[in-house]
This record gives sequence, C-alpha cells and structure tokens, in this order.
Amino acid sequence: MATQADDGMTSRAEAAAEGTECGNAGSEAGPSGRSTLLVDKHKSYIKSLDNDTATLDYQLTEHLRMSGVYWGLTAMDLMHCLHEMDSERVVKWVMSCQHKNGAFGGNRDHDAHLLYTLSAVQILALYDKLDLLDGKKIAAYVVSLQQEDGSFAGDEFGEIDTRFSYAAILCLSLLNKLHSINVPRAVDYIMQCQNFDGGFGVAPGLESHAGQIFCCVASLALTGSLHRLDRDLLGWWLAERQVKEGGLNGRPEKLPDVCYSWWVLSSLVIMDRVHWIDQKALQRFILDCQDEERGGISDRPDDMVDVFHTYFGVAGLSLLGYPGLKAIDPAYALPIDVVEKIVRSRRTES
Amino acid sequence: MDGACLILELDHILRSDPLIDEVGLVPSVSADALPLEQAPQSADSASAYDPSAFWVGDHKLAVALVAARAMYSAALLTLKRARTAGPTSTGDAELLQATQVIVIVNPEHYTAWNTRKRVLLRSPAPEGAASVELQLSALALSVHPKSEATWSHRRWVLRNLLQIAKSPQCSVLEKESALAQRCAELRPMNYRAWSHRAWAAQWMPPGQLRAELQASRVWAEQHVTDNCGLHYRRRLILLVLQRSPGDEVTATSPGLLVEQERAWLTPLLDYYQGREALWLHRRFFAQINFAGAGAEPQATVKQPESDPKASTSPSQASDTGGTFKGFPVPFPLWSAEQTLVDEVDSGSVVASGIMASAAESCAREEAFVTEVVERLRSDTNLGL
Repeated sequence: MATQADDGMTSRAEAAAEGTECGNAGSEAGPSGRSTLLVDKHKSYIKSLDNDTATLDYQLTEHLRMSGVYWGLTAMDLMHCLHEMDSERVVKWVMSCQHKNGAFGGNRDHDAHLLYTLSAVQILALYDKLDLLDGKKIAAYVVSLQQEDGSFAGDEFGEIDTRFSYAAILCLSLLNKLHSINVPRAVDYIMQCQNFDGGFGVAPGLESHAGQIFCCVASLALTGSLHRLDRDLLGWWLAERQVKEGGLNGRPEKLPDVCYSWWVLSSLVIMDRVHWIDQKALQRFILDCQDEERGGISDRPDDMVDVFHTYFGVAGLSLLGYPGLKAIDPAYALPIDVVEKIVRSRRTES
Repeated sequence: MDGACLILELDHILRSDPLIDEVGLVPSVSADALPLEQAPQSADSASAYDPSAFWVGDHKLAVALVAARAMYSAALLTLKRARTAGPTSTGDAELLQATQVIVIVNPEHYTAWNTRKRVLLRSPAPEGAASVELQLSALALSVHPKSEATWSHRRWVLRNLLQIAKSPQCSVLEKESALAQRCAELRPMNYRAWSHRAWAAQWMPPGQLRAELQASRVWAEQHVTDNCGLHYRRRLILLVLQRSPGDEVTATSPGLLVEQERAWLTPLLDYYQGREALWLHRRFFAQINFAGAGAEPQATVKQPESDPKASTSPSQASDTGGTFKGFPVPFPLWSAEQTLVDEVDSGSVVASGIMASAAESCAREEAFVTEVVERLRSDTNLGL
C-alpha cells in the first residue's frame, strides 16, 4: 500500500516543484482584489456555513452535509486553519450519522450510502480519529456492495457508478482494508469503462466525463494499476479541457468550471501530464472566481459561491503549488501530511 | 399555510389527473398574478384545493413557493417521525404522500426516494405502483432535469417493478427515450439524461434501435455541439451492429453503416468549423476502423495489423490503448443486468467488420485534416 500511495505523491511532488514558478503569478493579472488568494475571507465564509441553518439553501442540501463538511474542513486544513473549527462537535456529529452496519448517511435521519461513508472516513482522517471506527465492519459493508463484475453499488438499491468504485477503494485504503474486496476485478471493471478517447464514464460505454475520470484514475493509482492507462491518450483529452479563459471544462464544448480545477488537474498530476496545460492561466481563472467581499469561490467569475467550489478552487491551487497552502494528495483528496501520517502509523503497526 | 392539509390536496390533484407532466414552483399562483387569458378556476376544482397554493391547467401544475415550503417542512417531520418510531408508526399512504412532496421540492433527497422504494416493495400491485412512480419521477425531472437520484429511482422502478431486463416492452422504452430527450433539451449536455437513454436503449429490438438511430441523426444536426447526443449516436450504431450485423432486410453491413456516418459528418465538419464534439465523432469512426462501403463480405476479413487480440477481449484490448487499432466495442450494459451481456459477444462487431489496415486509416485521416486546414487557410486569405 505504501508504494501505491507513493505513486500519487511522487507526481504531486513534481507538480509542486513546477508550481513554484507560477506561484507568484497571481499578482500579474485579474481584477484588483482577486489577484491573490483571500484566505481570511474564505475562512470566515466557511465558518459562516454553520450559522444559516434556517435558509432554504441549507435545507435543500442537508442530505449531502457529510460531503459539505468534508469539503469545508479540507479547504480549512489546506489553508492551515483546521484548528479554528470545533473538532469535538464535528466528530460527535459525524459519529451520530453512523448506522448499525458501520456505514454513514449524508446527515442525521438519512440512509447510509457509500459516498457519505467515504466523506465521514475522510473527515475522521483529517482529525486523526480513524481509531473511532470499526474498520472490519465498514469493510464488510463495502464488500457487500461489490458486484460479480467488480463494480460497486452505492447502496442496497443497486445503482452502479464508477464514483462508487473510487469511494470503495479510497475508503478501504484509508482503513488499511483494501484487500477485503476483489481488487483485480474492481480494476478490470474500471478499465471496461474506458472510452475510445481515453476517458472514463459512469459505466461501460457511457460518455467520458472529467469527474468520472478522476475517480477512475485515482482508483488505478490507489490500487497500483496506473500501468494499465495510456497516459498520452487520456492526457490529450484532459489537456483539451482548458478553454480560452484559462479554466477547465469537464466535457467537450462545455463552459469552464472551477470544480474541474480539481477533477482534471488531479488526474493530470497523477499521470504526470500537468505540464500539458497552461498552469498560470488556470491559476488566474480560479483566483478570479473568488467573492472578494463575502469570501468563497464560485464555478465561474461573478457567480454565487458555495462550499463545493470553494474547496475545489483551493485544492486546485494547492495542486498548482500556490504559496502558503498545504500540498494535497491527488488520489486521496486529503492533505499530504494527513496521508503520510496514516501510512506511517500503518508501518509502525506492521 | 397548513403544510399537512396542502400535502393531502397535492395528492388529490395528482391522483385526479395522472396526465400532469410538468410542475413549476412559482412565486405566486393567485388569479391576479396569472395572465388574463388564463381561464379562472372552475367551481369544483376550486373546492378541492387552496387556489392560493396550487394552479392546474392543461395538465400542468403550479405550486406557490410559500406553499411548497410549508409542505416540505411538514413532510420532513413526517419522514423523521417514521424513521424514529419505526416503520409501523406511520401508514404507507401517509409516507408516500409526504415523500412525494419532498422529492418534488428537492429531488436529490435520496432518503425520501429510498423510503418510497421500501414501501413499494411491500406493494401488492407492483405494476400500478410503477406507473405512479414513473409519473412522479417525471414531474421531479420537469423541475430538475439533471437530478441523479431521480433518474436512479426511475431505473430501480423499471428493473424491480416492471422487470425490464426480463420482459422489455417497446412502449416503455420509447417513453424513457422521449423523457430523456425532453430533459436533454431542458438542460443541454445533460449527462444523466443521456446515460439513462443509453441504459434504456440496451433492450430495444433492432427495429426500434434503427428508428432511434434515424431520429438521433436529425437531433444531432440541430445540436452539433452536444457531445452527449453524438455519443449516444455512437452507442446506437454499435448496438445496431451487435444486434444485427449484416442485416439482410436493410442491407446494412457494418462497413456501410460506418461509411454512411462519415458521409453525413463531412459537410457538418465543413459547416461548423472547429467543433470539438464533431471532430471526436469522426475520430471514433477512424478508430473503430471499418472499411468502406461495398467491400467484400466476411471471407476477406483482414484483422488489424497492430494486435489481433484487440478484437477478442475488451480488457485485453483496452490494455493496449493505442489510437489506430480495432477499438473494442464497449459493453452496452450496466452490470446490474448482467444476463444480457453474455448473449452479446462484444468482440464480434470488430471481428466481423471489414477492417481497413491501420496504415490506410491513418493516411485517410491525414488527408482529410490536410484538406480542411488548406481550406481554412484559403478562406482566411480571401478574408472570409
């Protein structure tokens, strides 16, 4: 497992080395006020998310709060201010969303799902609290969702999606239980989802989509299977995602969107092809999507901000080596120091 | 507004008109907010529901936002009570009414959809229950055409209540395809809608597939930047080839079908210059690498020079990952319906197709690109 993790992290280190040259690019362009990362604004924006529980926006997104909390906290950690959040309260709330079978729901009063189980495990990893979990139980849950063909259902109702493959593989990697599932089959299934353009879709034969590509490429990295990828073919398609404005889109002919600064960029970093895009232009695009008054980052300049795009913007800048941010691991989607700690403690155990 | 009462009224409205196919959450439905030409409420419908909360006409339903909020809060409380106190505390009918409101207002509320599934599994009449679910999910999609949880619920209903994999019905599949198209038009490049359409197409018999393919051609011509529509077309072509390679009725050999596609595409590429989706479409057909129309039948099949194994197994083939090789035909199926996978030999299309050599195909593409670039250059010189 250590070597598999290294796979992603080596590429990351290279990216960081390359990123230093564009580290100061932020001051070159963009409207005034948005030329650098507004860390204080983003901090107060993320903290404010907890206060507005009566708003309709809050109510309409309460089912995915587990992921929302993971996005917010990871962004805070990348900006070196995780300690400003109430860790005890967060951890208590996370544990209150756990079901008897070990899996987690998106919030209290919600059914268990693989996606939210991963978010919960990631949050506990950030806080170095994985010991609160019964790894065997969670592994049994994940194993129960693997299908004959190697794919994963998201829950007992059987929807299949390559995102669920990633959730299963990453969740078990963090718990050091990856070999509970049939890894070769899981990898074979992912390879079946590859298209003629090198990309991956939700299921075999479905259109390539940058979000699904990230899930598949990161899964291959986590299982030590990157040799099965044609990096040039996929890197070509991914590099074509950069549009004139500097941002990245997720599919052909679509508008750029900050979230692809994570999905596309992390895939390029894992495959060591990040130098195929204009990193300075991308950095300018992300910075230009900041709300310089309220804080937070939106999908495109001057749109409404949300925690999802705030996290992906900060994570993208981290991958680009933006000064002052912690480095993020492109496959684990967690700060590298968090991943290293987990890997180290595992070595000590063994 | 009393949310609990409104929930019952909404249920009554939906039951009394199963043809309602669109719902909108609007700031106000009071008479003075509506255009003058709208007919006033008839007497008996006015008595059935609160006219400041709902408006119904032409099988469309409008719900005032303030009413939607009141119903949503009440419905969440009902769901919470049922989850805390156990399944027997709340009647199935009440749960269905409450979750109906939740998914119309917030179709991504997956726990509400799941709650419905659990109730439906207890239903003595699954087919009747299925038609209610299909109507409700279509309504939710009319508000949120990209809602993933809603599309997923629809597939669950088709699989589990209508047994689509065991007994596919053309009329059901046609409705899925039409709904997906409507949602694809409401939200361009709607990935979830097109995935659902591709999922439904896997059970279409050859005749229906051909009709679908024909219709998709017109659609694609009108939406040349929508890569989803073109990708769907690629899948249909592969499905047609898998189901009826060398169909005698329509005299369509794989080579001919692919050649027709190229002929259709060339003027589009010329007219809409530099569109990525169109170029990707061309690349796909260059990669699957069939020979031209009128080629000899299978006796003269030439295997791709690169790697003959590439056409025998999808996993082996994708390992090679090269550009100009016989690309494996992707499985048409999602794994939940594994049974059909075995009936279709995914490699057979490539194997039975008449391959041009990789070199021929490369040369052909190169010539085409050169031609396009030359034309662009001369257009620029002419100041066009």
